[in-house]
Amino acid sequence: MRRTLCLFLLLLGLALHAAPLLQEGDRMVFCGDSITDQMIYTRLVMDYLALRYPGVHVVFYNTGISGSTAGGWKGGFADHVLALKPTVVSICLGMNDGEYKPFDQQIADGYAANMSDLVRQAKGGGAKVVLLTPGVIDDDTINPTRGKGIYNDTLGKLATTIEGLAAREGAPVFNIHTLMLDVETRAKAATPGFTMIPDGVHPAPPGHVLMAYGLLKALDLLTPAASVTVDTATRTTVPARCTVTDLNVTADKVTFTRTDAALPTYLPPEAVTALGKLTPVLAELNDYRLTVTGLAAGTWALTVEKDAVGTFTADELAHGVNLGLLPGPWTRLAKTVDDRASLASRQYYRVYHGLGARHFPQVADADTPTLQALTGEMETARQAYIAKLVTAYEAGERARAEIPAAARTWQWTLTRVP
Amino acid sequence: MRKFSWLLLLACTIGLAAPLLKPGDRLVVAGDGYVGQHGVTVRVAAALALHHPGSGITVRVAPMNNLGFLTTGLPGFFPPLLDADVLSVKPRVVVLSFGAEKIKATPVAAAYRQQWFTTPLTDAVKRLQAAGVQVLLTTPPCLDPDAQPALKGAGEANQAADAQAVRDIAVATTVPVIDLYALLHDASTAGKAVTPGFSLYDKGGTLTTNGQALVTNELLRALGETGIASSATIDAAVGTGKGEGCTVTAVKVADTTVTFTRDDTTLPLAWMDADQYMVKVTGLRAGPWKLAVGDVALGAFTADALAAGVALPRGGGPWAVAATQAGERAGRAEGFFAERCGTLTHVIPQPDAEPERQALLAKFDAFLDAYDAHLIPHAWTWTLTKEP
Repeated sequence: MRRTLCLFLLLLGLALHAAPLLQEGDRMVFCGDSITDQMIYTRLVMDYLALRYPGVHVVFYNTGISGSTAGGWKGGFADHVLALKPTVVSICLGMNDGEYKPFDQQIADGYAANMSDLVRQAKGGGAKVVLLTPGVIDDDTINPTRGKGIYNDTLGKLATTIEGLAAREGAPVFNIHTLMLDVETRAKAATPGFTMIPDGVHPAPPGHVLMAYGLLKALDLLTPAASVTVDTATRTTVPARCTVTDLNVTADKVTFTRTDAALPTYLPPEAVTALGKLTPVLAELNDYRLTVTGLAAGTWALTVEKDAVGTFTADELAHGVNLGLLPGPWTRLAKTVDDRASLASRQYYRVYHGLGARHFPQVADADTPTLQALTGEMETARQAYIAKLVTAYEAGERARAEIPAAARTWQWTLTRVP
Repeated sequence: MRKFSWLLLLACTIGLAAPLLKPGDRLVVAGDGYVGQHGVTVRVAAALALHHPGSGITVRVAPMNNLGFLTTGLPGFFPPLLDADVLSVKPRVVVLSFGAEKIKATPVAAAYRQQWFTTPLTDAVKRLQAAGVQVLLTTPPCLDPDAQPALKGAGEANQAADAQAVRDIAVATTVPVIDLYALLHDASTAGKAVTPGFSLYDKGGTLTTNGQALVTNELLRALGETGIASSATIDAAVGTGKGEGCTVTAVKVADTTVTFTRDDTTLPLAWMDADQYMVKVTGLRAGPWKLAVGDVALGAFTADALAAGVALPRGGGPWAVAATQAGERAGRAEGFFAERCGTLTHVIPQPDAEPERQALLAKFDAFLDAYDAHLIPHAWTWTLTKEP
C-alpha cells in the first residue's frame, strides 16, 4: 500500500513536472547512426529514468545503424522505427550527412529535407519527436581524410538547421554540438591532449554523458534527485522526494534513515574524472542534496551505510552539499542499474542487428525444392524467435524500472570530527 | 626430452598418411577470427569436394571471433561454444586453430599463457577426444614484422611461445600438429632471401594468396589428401573400358569415333601437382584424335600418345568448372555456418526464448545439411573423334 502510494505520488510528480515527454507506459525509440549504435548515451538515459523515476515503466529500443544518414533512414523508418509502435522517438543524425566536407548548402538543404521527412513520418505514426543536433568531431584525433579542421564548422551549421526544423515542427531539441564543442574546447585548453572522442567521431563515455544530458533536457526529464534538510535544533526534517525516519541528534552525532524516491543516476567514472570540474552538467544531472543546520561548528564526517562519503564543515552542511558525484551506496545501485541497462541494450541489439534476414540463407540461395522449403521454414522459425525475444526484452525492460524501496533505504550518520 | 617430443610429433604426422576422412565424415575447422577469414578453409572444402565427389564428406568452419584467449580471456566461454559450434554438428575430425588473433604487442607472462591459452586449449582437445573425435592442432602462424612492425619483438616472441605451447599440447594429448609457424617462417625466410620485401602477409597480418596456398596444402597433407590417381583405360579394339578412381561404361566404338561415359569417384585439383588424371585408349587407328569431355574440347592427341596414356590438364576440363562451383558453394556454406554461429550460438542466454532458438537452430542445420547434399558433376560423356 505504501509502495503504491509512493508510486502514485511519483507519477503525480512526473505528470506535474511541466509535462515531460516520457510518461508511464511509453515506448521510446532511439533513432540514429553509429553514435547511437554505441549504446552509451541511450543507456545513460535509460539509467536516468529508472533511477530518478523508479517505477515509471518505459520500454526503450535502440535502432542506431552505423554509417546511416537522414536520407538513408527515410526508406527504413517505417520498418525499423514505426513498426515498434513508439510513442516517443528521438532522432540524432547528421554526423554522416555532412559527408565530412566543408559546409555545402546543397547538402545541408538535403539533410534538412530528409530530417523533416523523418519528423513527419514519426508524427504520422503517432509518436512525439525529440531531436538532437549532430555532435562534434575531435580535430586532434580524427582521421585527416575525414574533415580535420573544417568539419565542426559544417556540423555547427547542420545543428542550426536542426534547431530551425525543430522550431517549425514544434519538436523539442537540444543543440549538443554547442555543448560538446564548448566542453571540448575548454577541456583541451585546460589539459593538452585531452579527448573525449578517441577516434575523432565516436564519443567516449564523457561525450555521451553530454549527449544524454541534452536528450534528458529536451525530454524535460531533468529534475533534482532527492534532498533533505535536517534542522538539528528542532529535530525536524524537510524531505523532498524522499522519506526520513528515526532522526537522532546528539552533540557529536546525527543519524537518520532515509528512503529515496529519486536517486542519483549512473555517471561513468571516467566522465566524472574528465568533466566533473569542467562543466556544471554533471552536478545538474546528479543534484542529490543534504542540508543540515544547527550543527556545532567544525568538521563532520558523513557515512551512509558503511560508505564514507566525505567530510564537510558545519557551514557547508548548513548551505547544503551535493552528494551526487561522491561515492555512496547510490553509486553501487546506479552501477547495478546501468549493468542491467547494458545487458538490455545488448539483448535488443542482438534482436535488431543480429537476427536480421540478411544473416540467414535467402531464397536465392535455395537451388532445390528441399532448400526452398527449408528457407521458408527457417523464416517462420526466425520470426517466432524474434517475437519471443522481443516479448522477453519488453518484460525485462518493465522489470528494470522496479528498484525495490529496500534497495534505496539507507542509514545516514554524521559524526563530528574531533 | 625436446628431441623425444619432436620424434613423437613426427610419428603423429606420419600416421596421417591415409586419408582421415571417410565417406559421410564431417570435418570441423574451429578457431579464432583468423579461421573466419575463410581463404584457406574454402580451398580445403573445395579440394575435398573435388577429391571425393558424392562421398558425403562435409566441412563446417566455426570461427569463434575474438576468442583470442590471450586477449579476451573469457572464462567459461569456450566450452559452450565447443558444444554449440563443433560437437553439435557431429564431426569425425576437428582442426583446432587458435592463437593467431589479437596478438599482444607486450610480453605475456608464462602463467597467463598457461591460464588463458594452454589450459583451455588442452581441455578442448581432451573434450573432443572423449567424444571420439580425431583432433588436429595447428600452431599459430609466425609473424612477419615487416608486415606488422608494431608486433616486432614482443609480439614475435609471444607468437613463438604460443606456437610452442601448441606443440607441447599436441605431445601431451598425442594428437597431430600442423606446424604453420615453422612452415611460414621457413617460407618467409627463403622468400626474403631471394626477394627483398617479400612477404606472405598483407599489411593487416592476413595471409596473401600465396600464404593461403601454402597453408591449404599443409592442411590437406595432414588430412591425408596427398594426391589422387584416376585413370580410364579403353580398349577400342574390343570396345571395353575399365577405370581406376572412376567407372567406365557405355563404350561405343565406330569408324571415326569412340565414346564412353566416365563417372569419377575422384577429381583433380588444378593446383595440386600430385593429382594424376589420366586417360588411355588403345586400339585406335593411327593419326590424331580430338578429345572432348562433355562440351569441353581438350585438344588433339595422336593414337600413339593415347595408347601410352595422356595426363589431362587438371585445370582444363569440365572438372575445372566443377571445381569453381565447388569453391563458390563451399564459400557460401562457410558463410552460412559462420552466420549460424554468430547469430544463434554466440548469444546472450534468454531462457524464455530458448525453445524458439533451438527450433531455429535445427532448421538452420537442416538447411546446411541439405545444402551439402548438392552434388558437383562428376560423370561426363567422353568423345574421341578421328581428325582427317
